[in-house]
Amino acid sequence: MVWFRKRLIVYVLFIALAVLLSALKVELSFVALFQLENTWDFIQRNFWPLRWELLPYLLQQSLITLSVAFLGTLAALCVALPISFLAASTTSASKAGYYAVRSSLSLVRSVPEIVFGLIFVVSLGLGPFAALLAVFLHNVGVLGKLISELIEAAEPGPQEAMKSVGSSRRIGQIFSIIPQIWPNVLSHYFYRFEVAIRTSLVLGMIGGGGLGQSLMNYYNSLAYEAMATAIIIIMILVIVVDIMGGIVRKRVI
Amino acid sequence: MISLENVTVTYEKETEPALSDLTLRIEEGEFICVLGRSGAGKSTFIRTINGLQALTKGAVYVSGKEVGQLSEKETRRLRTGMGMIFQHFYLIPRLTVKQNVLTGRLGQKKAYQNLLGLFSEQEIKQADYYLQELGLTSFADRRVEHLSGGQKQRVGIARAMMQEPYILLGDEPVASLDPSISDSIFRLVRTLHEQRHLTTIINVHDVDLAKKYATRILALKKGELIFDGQPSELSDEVYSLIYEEESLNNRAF
Repeated sequence: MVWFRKRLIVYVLFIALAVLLSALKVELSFVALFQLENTWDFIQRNFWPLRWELLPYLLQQSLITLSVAFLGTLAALCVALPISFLAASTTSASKAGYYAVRSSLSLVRSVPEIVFGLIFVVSLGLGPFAALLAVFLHNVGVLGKLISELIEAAEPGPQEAMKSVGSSRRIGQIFSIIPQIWPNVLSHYFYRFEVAIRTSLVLGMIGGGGLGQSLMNYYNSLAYEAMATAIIIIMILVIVVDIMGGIVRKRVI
Repeated sequence: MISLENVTVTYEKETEPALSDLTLRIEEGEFICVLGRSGAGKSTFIRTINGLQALTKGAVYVSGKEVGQLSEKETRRLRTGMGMIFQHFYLIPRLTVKQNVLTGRLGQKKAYQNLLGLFSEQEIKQADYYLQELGLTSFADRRVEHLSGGQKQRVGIARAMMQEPYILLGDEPVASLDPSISDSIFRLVRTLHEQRHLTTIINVHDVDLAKKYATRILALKKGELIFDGQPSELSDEVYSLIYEEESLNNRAF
C-alpha cells in the first residue's frame, strides 16, 4: 500500500478523538435529528401562501442590502489592495512593518462583522451605514490577507525584470505583480461580495436595515408568509450575484 | 568601461563562494560570451554588473562608478542604461506584446506617468520601431502568454532595447530555446550590438554559439575565471576543462 504509512493511523485516531469531543460539546443528538420532521411541518404550515404583494417593498429593501454588501466590499478592496503589498513578505517595506501590518489585519479580521455591527449600531445609530462599516472593516482584514498571499505566491521573475529596467521598487512591484494576480483578486472579491450579502442580512437583523431587518420584523411579528417571501428574494439575490461573478471572472481570465 | 576587482560572492548558508576573487576589465563595444557548467557562477557574474547581486567582497565599476556604493536613485539610473534578457523571459503575463515592450521605459518616467500609461509619441514610435525590427509587429496586441519561446525572447529583447541601453546583459537567454531559434536570437542580438555599439555580455551553454558570435570568451568554473580570450584561442583542452565532470569521489551520493 504505497500511499499509506503507519503514521496515518495516528492521524486518523487523533481526528476521531477530536470528532468525538466536538460531538459531545454540541450535544449531538440523533433523537433530535428524527424531529426534523417538525421543521418541515412548520415550513409547510406557515410559509404559504407567499405574499407577493410585498414584492416591490422587498425589492427596495434588497437594494439596500445589495448596496451595503457592494460598497462595503468594494471600499475594502480599494483599501486592502495597497495594504496587502505591505503585508506580503516579498514586498513589505521592512520586517517590522510586515509584522505590524500583518497582525493589524489579523486583528480586524478576528472581529466578526456582527460584533462590529453591534458596536456601530449603538455608536452611530440604527441603519445601513453601521452595517456598511462593519462589512468594510472585516473585509479589509480578509481581503488584505488573501491578496497578500497572492502577492507572495506571484512569480518573482517579472519583478526582477522590472528591477533591471531601473523602475522604482513600488512601480516595479505594481507592474509585475498586479497583472499576474488580478484574476484571482477578482475571484476573491466576488466571493467576499457574495458572503457580504449574507452578512448584511444578518446585520439587518440587529438593526442594520435592508432585507435582513424586514425578515426579522416579520419573524418577530409571526408573519411567516411574509418571512418566506423575503427568504425567496434572498435566494434569488445570492444566485444572481454568483452568476454575475462567474461571468466577470470568465471575461477577465 | 566595466571592471571587476577581486569580486567574491558567497551566498548565505553556502560555504563555497559562487564567484571567487574575480578581476577583469570589459571594454566598450565588446561582445562577450560567458561559458561554464550550471552552477559555475555565470548568472551571479552577470547580476553583479547591474547590481541585482550584492557582493561579499571586492568592487564592480561601471563607467567609473562603483555599483555597490550608489544610492537607490543612482542604481536605478545605472540600470536604465543596461538592458537585460533572461532565460525564462520574465515578461509580464496578461499584458500585450506592445505593453510589455513599453515597460522597458518604466525606469525613465515619473510614477504617475507609468501608472496612467502616459507614453510620449516618441516612445510609442520607438516601440513600433523595435517591434518591427524584431518581427513582432503582427503580434503587437496579442497577450505574451500566447507566444512561442522564440517570440517571447524577442519581446524580451525589444523591452531591453526600449531602454536605449549602452550595455546588454543576457542571463542564459537561449537556454530554453531550440538550436535554430537560439541562433536567430543571437543573430538579432549581434545586429543590435553592431548598430548601437552595445557592450554585450551573455551567458551561454552552447560553445558553438559563443565561438560564432563572441569577440571574447570568458569561462567560469566553480566561481573562478579559467579562460579569458579570443574565440579562436578556445582549444579543446580548455573546452574539456570547462565541462569536465567532477571526479566521482568528490560527489556526494
